[in-house]
Amino acid sequence: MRLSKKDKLFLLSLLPLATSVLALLILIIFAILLRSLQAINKFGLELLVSSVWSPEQEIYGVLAPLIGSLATSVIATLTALILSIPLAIAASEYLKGFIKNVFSSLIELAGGMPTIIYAVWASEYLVPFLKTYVMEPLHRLLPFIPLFSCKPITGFSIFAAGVAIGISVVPYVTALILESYNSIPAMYKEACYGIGAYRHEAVSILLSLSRPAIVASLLLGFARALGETTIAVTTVGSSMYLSSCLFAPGYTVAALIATQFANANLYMYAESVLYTAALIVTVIATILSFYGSVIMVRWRSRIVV
Amino acid sequence: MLAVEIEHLNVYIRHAHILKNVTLRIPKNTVFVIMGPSGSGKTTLLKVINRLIDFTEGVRVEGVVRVLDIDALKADPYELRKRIGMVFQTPNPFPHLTIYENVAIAAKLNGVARSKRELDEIVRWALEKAMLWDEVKHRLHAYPHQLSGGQRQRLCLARALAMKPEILLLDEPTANIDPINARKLEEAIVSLKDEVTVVMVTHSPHQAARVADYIAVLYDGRVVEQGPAQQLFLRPSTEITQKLLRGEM
Repeated sequence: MRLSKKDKLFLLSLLPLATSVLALLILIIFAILLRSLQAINKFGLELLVSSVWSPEQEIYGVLAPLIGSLATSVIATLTALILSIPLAIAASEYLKGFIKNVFSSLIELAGGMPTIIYAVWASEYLVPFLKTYVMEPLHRLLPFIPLFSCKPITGFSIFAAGVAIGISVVPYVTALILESYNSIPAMYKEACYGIGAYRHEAVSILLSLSRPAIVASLLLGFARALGETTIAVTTVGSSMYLSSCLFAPGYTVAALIATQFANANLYMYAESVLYTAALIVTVIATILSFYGSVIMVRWRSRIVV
Repeated sequence: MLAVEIEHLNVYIRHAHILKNVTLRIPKNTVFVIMGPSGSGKTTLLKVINRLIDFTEGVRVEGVVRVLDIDALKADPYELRKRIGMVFQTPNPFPHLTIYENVAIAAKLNGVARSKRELDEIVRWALEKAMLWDEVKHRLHAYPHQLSGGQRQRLCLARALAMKPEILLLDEPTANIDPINARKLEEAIVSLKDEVTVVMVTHSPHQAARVADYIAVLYDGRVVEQGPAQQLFLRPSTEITQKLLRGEM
């Protein structure tokens, strides 16, 4: 389609603002990279294989927060998976009219809620609940499994942070799953009923049809969980001790940055180390988001005949 | 013996009156063709028979629809659909399932096979009936996107047959496929009537002439003529039918 002169002018007027956002993104990543170099040059791989935060002595190692970020995100993704699929199915298949609208509005509302609300709620109510009804029973029943081997002391742990972050990304993941489930062409739904499927059988066929899209939604959810900060700060327990037990307190990169950044400029390398940790998380999140988006696009092109 | 008996059927979708006082009798083990120009209500009529119409928003159905001696409008639609297979205008095999799985799933959903061996036999039988077996027997575990449009449609026919239906609804099954595949599908349809009652929608008079035992002509939601195919072709009694048969509509 050829653009008219006026359209070209209009497009030209949009370009500076539109490109400045992209440029800003690239600049941010570039800045993070630049600020990390000092720590990377000084400590090298040592940063990634030890878990110490001792700015007074200028000794650093971010293994525990990195593992913590990945572990909480895995737990968060599993939590989101367990909660989002029933939510999405109920919203798209079983609820009708007014109730469906109320339900959808509630999901949107939950998605738009500031994370500080989740954070306060999680530290006041969710953590004690999980400690009493999930962590302690699991520890009593299966103490020989390393993941459950430690007695939950306060409840503030990798596990609690994972579940809390998972709950906060449920609206996002549900919206993604719903979008892909609802974008399945009607002809496949008709195909299910045309061969005598009951509703639950049709749902199960359509869910298996949208499996790649669900995986992609979870990858995007994982990337979002990696960056979640406020909830992590209030629930993870803030400990640099690396444990194989999920019920022990830990750290995440986002929580480490949030709690240490303000004073980091007092020391020679602390700030740069934080930038390095941020760089690693940014790279992981970008790769996952990109991969998730690729899966989603491929899936869409495959189901549309 | 009637497979479907429809009396004074009226269908409204929102405020539009789609089917108007339709009365039809479809004998068992015949190929019954519903002809009419697009927008005449043919697909809606098919979807009333297996109650797929229930998924259309704002629909209201009035009248009597007896399918296999059951009051179809009052019956459990899911139970009803287990006895009626359907093939749609656009081939819609499940893209995430293999050729084998696409056929097998229909048999599994309807409890047709009790063992893996029986399932294999049914899949083979259905693919043979749909005249697809020879083309896919060495690649049953390939995916439907590797088939041509016509082959995909015959796969859909095989899938519908694998549920061992008593009635088969075909909604313009050859509309989107090439003439060679269309002929194969027609051959398959004619060979099926010993086992099922076939109700087929088409707007091609030539196709109707090749496969139909009975024909009903639908125009603007009304049945304007119905009867044995030969009689309708030799002595069409309405101008609409004459125009339709001449391909002028």
